[in-house]
Amino acid sequence: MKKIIAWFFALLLTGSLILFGVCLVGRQVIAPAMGDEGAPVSDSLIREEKDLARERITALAELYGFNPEPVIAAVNEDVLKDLNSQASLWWSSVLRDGKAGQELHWDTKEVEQILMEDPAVQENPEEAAYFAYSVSEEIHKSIVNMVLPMRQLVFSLGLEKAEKRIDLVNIVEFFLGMPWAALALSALFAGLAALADGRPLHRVLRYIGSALGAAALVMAAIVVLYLCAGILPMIQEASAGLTLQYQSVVTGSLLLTAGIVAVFAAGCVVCLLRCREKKA
Amino acid sequence: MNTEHKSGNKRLWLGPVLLAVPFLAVIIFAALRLGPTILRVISVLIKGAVVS
Repeated sequence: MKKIIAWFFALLLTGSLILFGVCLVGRQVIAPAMGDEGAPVSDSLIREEKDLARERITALAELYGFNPEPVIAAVNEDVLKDLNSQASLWWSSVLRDGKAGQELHWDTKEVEQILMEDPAVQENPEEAAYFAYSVSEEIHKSIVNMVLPMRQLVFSLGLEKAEKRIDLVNIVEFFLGMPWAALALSALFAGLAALADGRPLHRVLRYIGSALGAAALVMAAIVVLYLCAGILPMIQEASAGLTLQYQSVVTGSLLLTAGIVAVFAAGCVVCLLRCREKKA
Repeated sequence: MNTEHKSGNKRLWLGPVLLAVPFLAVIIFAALRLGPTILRVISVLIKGAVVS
């Protein structure tokens, strides 16, 4: 009977360890965006966005017939960094206040000026100002959509509707505290398993080691299922800008998950080896 | 005696697998039953909320 109760607590311990692992990964995705200045943006993401911006401006240049190189030079890393921090604050506003933030904006006066001076545009000076203004607006829209590829109006309306039914801000705060609650629960269940059948000591090592190993197996299975789900192709199809941001977040999350699985597996091996030694 | 010891050791390593079975069963069952629906919802959400 003692053994059955101890195994039951080991099962609960496995569940709380899985909850801890999953919520910790989720927390690491959400928490950076909760700060006052939003999530920091990596240089590699900026570089990739610069390449994407180059592609977009070149496509627009082919469509409207202007020289793309000076415009590409104007949409430099500083502009992209500023837009990314605005996008980060937008997400921060969604998570912290449950409301869509301000629309992203960058001053296109420089681009407008470059377009006005373009030799192809100068051929028709009467329409140069209008052409420069409308094309710069098009470039503005394309670059903003690349950095924050969300339909901001849809988000804003969706959040307003959701606000009446759910308290998003409280849910996010609750979720951020979940890993620590799950860790406390894990300690409680490990203690209860030890109380139920913890003498001699090797028995409790067996329960804890088994729970750690099981949690590692389940988390590895969750990662495999996630990788098989094919979410990346869906995002690739929808937006190139979102693909870059998604890949950057997912790489970090997968690394953290691999770390958690490795720690759980190492804990399992250590506990079970110690259990075998003590038993012998 | 030696054989008993070996089978005891084998049983020791079975613990993690046996504890993982109920969770894996629930996850695989949920993935098979709800997976396609969840993926469809994600796809619709992405198409609706994302601009290219």
